[in-house]
Amino acid sequence: MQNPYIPIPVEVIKIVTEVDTKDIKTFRFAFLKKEDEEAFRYLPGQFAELSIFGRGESPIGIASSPTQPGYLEFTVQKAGVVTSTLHEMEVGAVMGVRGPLGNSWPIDFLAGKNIVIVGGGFAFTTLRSLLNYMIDEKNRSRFGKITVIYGARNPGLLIYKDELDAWAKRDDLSLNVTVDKGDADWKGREGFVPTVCREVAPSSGNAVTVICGPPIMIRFTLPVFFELGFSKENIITSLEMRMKCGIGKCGRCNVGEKYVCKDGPVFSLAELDKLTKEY
Amino acid sequence: MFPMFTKETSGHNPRPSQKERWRQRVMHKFRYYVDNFNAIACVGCGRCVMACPVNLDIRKVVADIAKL
Repeated sequence: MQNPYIPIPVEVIKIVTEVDTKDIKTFRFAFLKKEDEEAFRYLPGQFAELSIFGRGESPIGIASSPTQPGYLEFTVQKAGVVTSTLHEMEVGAVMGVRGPLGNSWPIDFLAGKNIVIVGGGFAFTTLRSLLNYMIDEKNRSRFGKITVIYGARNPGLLIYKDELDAWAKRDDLSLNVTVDKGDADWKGREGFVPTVCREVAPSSGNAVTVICGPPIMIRFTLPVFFELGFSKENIITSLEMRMKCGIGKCGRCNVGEKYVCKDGPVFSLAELDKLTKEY
Repeated sequence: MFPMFTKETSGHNPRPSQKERWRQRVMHKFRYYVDNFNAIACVGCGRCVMACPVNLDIRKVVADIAKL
């Protein structure tokens, strides 16, 4: 049996600084071994442990889509020991990735439905994976109308700016980017995500909302979707926790008998309601 | 039972005090493990019964936890 704690060796091949504050970067990794690349089968919404030898591991959502073969991307905010070391790394550095871990956005459940993607700030990473997966030409016909609502505090904090421009040009999805407060150059929408959701008012008919963002955004956005007629089964989110082992062994991330790393991180609101209130 | 075990980089700690951490320990052994694997996570050494300062039969208490 393969030891699940052994990381897969990868090389940093590209680093993009996403935001003006420079503390969020997207790292692109290539597998050192071809057989590892073929074995790494994942779906949007899954995560992996980024492993820096001698420093530790950090659980990060996979930001690239399985429809983009040959590499993996992770968007990481500089925060603790591992991510600070990662931010100092340069192209060519060798490190480890352990995964893919957790469940994914429920692709089979989403198929055939209209999809509303709601993202806030830098939580857009696995949503970007999902969006790129759905708009891939092989998959686009499997999904209905796609509406994206994405907000950040200010224009400098929007991530994936090049892709936002490319998505805005497509006629098979409706992209609504908003910032809490614009600056002199900002020509787009201003307003908080819940307000924009109410303005855009996606229909709840045969539709599923996939929402990921800061708790405060989710708290005020959920009532809007209830008003629009979305049921708790059709609102899906992804939890964040200190997932140390990633395989349901260490007992850090469990809420009751459910392990966020193994049974999640993706849950519907109906499933979250069933979890114990204390953990 | 250390706070660092679950403390997140942001500073948030889902199990901030001894109360939550003991709850997790007992519930994991006698409730969550039963739900997931249909067995209690106790090896039956009996030391808790011997060491109890108020002479509780802790086996009876944990049997009740499994019925929660």
